[in-house]
Amino acid sequence: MIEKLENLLKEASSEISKADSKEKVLLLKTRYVGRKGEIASFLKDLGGLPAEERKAAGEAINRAKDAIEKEVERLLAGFDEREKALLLKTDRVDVTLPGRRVPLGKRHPVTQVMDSVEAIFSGLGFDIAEGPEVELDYYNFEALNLPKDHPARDMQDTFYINEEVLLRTHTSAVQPRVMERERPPLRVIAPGTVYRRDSDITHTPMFHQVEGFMVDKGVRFSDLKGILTQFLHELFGENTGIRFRPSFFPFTEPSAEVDIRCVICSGSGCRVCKGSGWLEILGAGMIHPEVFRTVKYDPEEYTGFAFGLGIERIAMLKFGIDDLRLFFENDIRFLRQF
Amino acid sequence: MLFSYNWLKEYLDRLPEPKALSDALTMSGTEVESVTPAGALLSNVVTAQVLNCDKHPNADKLQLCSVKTDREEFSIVCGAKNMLPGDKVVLALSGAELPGGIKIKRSKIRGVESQGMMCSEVELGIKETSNGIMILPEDTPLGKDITEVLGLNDFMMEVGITPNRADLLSIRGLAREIAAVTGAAFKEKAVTVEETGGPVDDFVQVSIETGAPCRRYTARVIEGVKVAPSPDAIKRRLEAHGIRSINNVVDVTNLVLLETGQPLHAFDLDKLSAKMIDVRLAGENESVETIDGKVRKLDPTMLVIADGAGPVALAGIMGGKSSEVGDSTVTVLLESAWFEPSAVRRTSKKAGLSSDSSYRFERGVDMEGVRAALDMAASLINKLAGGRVASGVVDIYPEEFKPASMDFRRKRAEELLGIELTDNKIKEIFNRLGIVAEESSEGVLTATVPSYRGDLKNETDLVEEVARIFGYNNIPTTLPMGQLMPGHTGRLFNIRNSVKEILTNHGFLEVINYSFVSREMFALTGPEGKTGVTILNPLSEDQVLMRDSLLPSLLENLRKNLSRKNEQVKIFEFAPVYLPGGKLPEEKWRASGLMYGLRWDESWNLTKDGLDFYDVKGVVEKVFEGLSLDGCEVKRAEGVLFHPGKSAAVTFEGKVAGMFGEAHPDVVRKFDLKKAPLLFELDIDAVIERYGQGRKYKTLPKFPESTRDIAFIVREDIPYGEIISSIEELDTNLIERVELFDVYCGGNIPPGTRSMALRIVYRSMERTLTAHEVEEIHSGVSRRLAGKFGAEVRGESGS
Ligand SMILES: [Zn+2]
Repeated sequence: MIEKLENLLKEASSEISKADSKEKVLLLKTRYVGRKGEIASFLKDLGGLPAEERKAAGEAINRAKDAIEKEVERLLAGFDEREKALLLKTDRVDVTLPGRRVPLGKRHPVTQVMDSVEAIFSGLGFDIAEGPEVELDYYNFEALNLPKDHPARDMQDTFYINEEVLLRTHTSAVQPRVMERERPPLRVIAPGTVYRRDSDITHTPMFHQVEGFMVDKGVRFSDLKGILTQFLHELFGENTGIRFRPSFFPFTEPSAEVDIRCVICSGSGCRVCKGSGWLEILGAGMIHPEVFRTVKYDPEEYTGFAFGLGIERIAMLKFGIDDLRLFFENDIRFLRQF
Repeated sequence: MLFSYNWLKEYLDRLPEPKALSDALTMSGTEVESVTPAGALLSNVVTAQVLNCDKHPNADKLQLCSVKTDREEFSIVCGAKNMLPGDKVVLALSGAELPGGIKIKRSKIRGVESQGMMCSEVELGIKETSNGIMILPEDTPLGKDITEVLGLNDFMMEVGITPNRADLLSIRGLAREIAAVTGAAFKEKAVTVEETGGPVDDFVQVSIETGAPCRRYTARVIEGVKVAPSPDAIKRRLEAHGIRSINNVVDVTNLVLLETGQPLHAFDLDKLSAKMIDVRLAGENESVETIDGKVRKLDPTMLVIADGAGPVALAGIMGGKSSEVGDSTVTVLLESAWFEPSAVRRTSKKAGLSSDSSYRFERGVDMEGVRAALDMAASLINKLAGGRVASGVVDIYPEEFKPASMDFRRKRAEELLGIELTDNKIKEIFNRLGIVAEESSEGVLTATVPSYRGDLKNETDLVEEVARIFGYNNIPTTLPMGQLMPGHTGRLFNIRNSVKEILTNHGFLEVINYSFVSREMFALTGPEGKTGVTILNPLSEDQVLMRDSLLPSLLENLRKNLSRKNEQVKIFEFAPVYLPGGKLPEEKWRASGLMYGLRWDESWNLTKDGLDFYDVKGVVEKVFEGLSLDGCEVKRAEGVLFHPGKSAAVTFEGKVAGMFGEAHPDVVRKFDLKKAPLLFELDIDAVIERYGQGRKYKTLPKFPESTRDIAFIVREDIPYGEIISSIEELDTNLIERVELFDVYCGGNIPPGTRSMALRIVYRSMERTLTAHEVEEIHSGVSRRLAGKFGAEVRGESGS
């Protein structure tokens, strides 16, 4: 019987190894190790064997069964593997076809720059304040040491609503409003929309500014340099060259204009920087004692600095935009780019 | 303002080269915006002399001349005929470049070689017109570079003078500043007036009316002048500084204005009635015809110069036509005065007239320099136009100028700037600026400022001067002392940020429009006859009124985009609108949006459905959800811009918080659109108080839900909102939510009705509901629908 079993095993192995499909292997599996298969018929014969042989024969039958089943499993696994491989080879998508996508909206480039300016100053401990765009002459000019008939008013062409009310020409108007209402120490920025009666290739009648100021005991011009240097390094990069040069604003003294190394030509001179290698980026200065007196701060006790910057100009530099008017045309092909 | 480098040189020794000079000026607060070589574009152009001129052998209209320089002789073909042998001329040699890019090379003209070109003033770029080639004075040396001979190798510097520095509005003033900031040596020009005429008092009587805003009036008389065109050098200098040449007398007044900053005026004395000058405020109903030919009505706030008959000049602004110096003038009255800046500014504004002269008076001229400028001009007129200067000077100067003086505390300067200073350093800086400083006590200097620095009025002004000369870049960079606290943002800032976040995530592009619109756009949002915040002095008719809604601007954006073939438009704007109010208008923040085109961008794997009302409603709902503002209600509402059947208002806690829907067909037509855009405008102020409160966590349910569906037919005009709230109020504890999963009209549904299918989710927070309990409530729903709305229930099912 053992012999017969061995012959069967041999035959089975050779038959199974010749099977060239999953179906044939399964048929052979039924034929040899199925419930009514050949191995099963050996089990039936087992009863007819003498008791002392029965154990060994039983074990042999089981071994043969295991061997065949193992072989079947191995082959089946092989067929499955090949089938899967084939499937993975043919079941595929064109990954270059566009995705199913709802386009992302974008903030206006001016907003984006405004956001980053606000974030930097927020990190430097500045609060954010806002004021009205239609403003009293008082806050826009008089409280900033710009009395009526002051020639410096010519620096800013103003839209008027009536003799006392105007469209604010700078966000500096927020400065006296905040100072009137609060006491030092103050660190405040005031972002917003401003208006000047000017329209040509480099001016739009409406644009955006961020005003900032700090008032406390012992605030120095060197602190102004420190804060603005830190700000500009954050905004334009750690290695950006910066220079401070004297200027004039009625509401600050000493006043400064702050330039950065031209981001286009790195200082060698180009059209954008008009050959100077520098770009004017900020106006700043120590708050004028007259402004403090107007809001009833004692200029002997408190000092402070203020600064203002134009957002469109920075956006033009950062995004490489060469035409200011694009910001207000709202062409969606433009707006989508940022 | 333009400054000639060569002219500055007349006042300075060791003047740095133009590049270094402009850097030094810029870094000390006087920004040099550009430096342009003037006339220096000429090279290889020299002085020469014509030896002889013959006819060109092959051309009647041309001449063949031989011309020599100091070394060589050239043969030149020339079309002009105005030169004679012996004339000194300007010769452009081979290799020369002339203004306008003309390059000179040896060439054959009608078969004869020409070795260069004799130039006219036009070709040299120094005049607009000329008659033939330029003839130079007889004593001109030969072979010299023409730019040197004519003083053409100049640089024009465009300088931005800040409004406080009136003292820099002149060659002499800028030269003084250059000396202070560069260490170049300033040298004064000596002026002598040869007084050969009769006493000035015999010619004219001058008076200043009491209280008139004129603190000094000086005058001289020059008799027997010959008015003629100015020499070319003077014309060129004036023109290079942007002033048109008139005649030798007027040109001198302008030249001295440019050089000293002191405005002057020359009257034809013979045309002054009663030979008198009165400086006074104008009377009622007076007028004057100014040199530009315009008659100016005057009032008693305006300062004038009058003669015996009436006003003859707007003081400090412009002279009058009647006493203008012209060809027939023989006696000149020269005025140099000091008028109050505010008076000149007022008069100039009222007359709507400003001039180089008023520009300087408004900013303040040097009261102590009035006389020196007068003398410089008198001597120059005398030199150019001849005649005799009357002896003596009119100088009415009732109250002499007192120089300002103030204390300067070293410690204050150090604290303000963040630097350390020594008294010596301060004194050195003051000395360079002409400020006289004396120590009055320990660490305190008393500084007396020169008459031309009217801008230095207090200690801080002096601190700025110290910082300026010390050099801003020499001041260290520090960080403020004191505690650093994180910055606060306001509620408006936060809600604006959230709204922008939500809308951009929903595919909206942010736009920014001008706040002012045309009358037509303003009227668009109605109601008729409303008033708005109006700009008194708009730039154009398109920018007259401050908008009271953002939607017209968005519609205009849509129109523009469609004209550029941008057909998928989803835009929003977050900005204030301006409503007439008290002293200042009310500024109300709005978030408004517009959607147009397909629901999705056109793509191979997206449906191509158009947008409808429910898209915009979904956006509005999303905004409220994103802002954590639960419980807004939507009700049918009408607005001028909206389709009456497809628009709604959203209310939050009883306040109207916005409107949305499809645009009105009239709007569609007006903006020339193919279909109706969807619009929304949210009133941020209506919800801002409730924004930022966040949400509270609700316990997740522990017991299972049971859902039941119900389908029914109901009259079309019954709003879904009523149906659903009527169901919800049946049992607020056990009905968790109601979902609408189908709405259908047409087919076998009777006209005027629609079929709806709802899924109702039942759940208790305390226990598992039994099937029986659920059935009981659900049949209540069914009864409510039938009873209250007359609905015909078609089927119920559960799970
Ligand atoms: Zn550059």
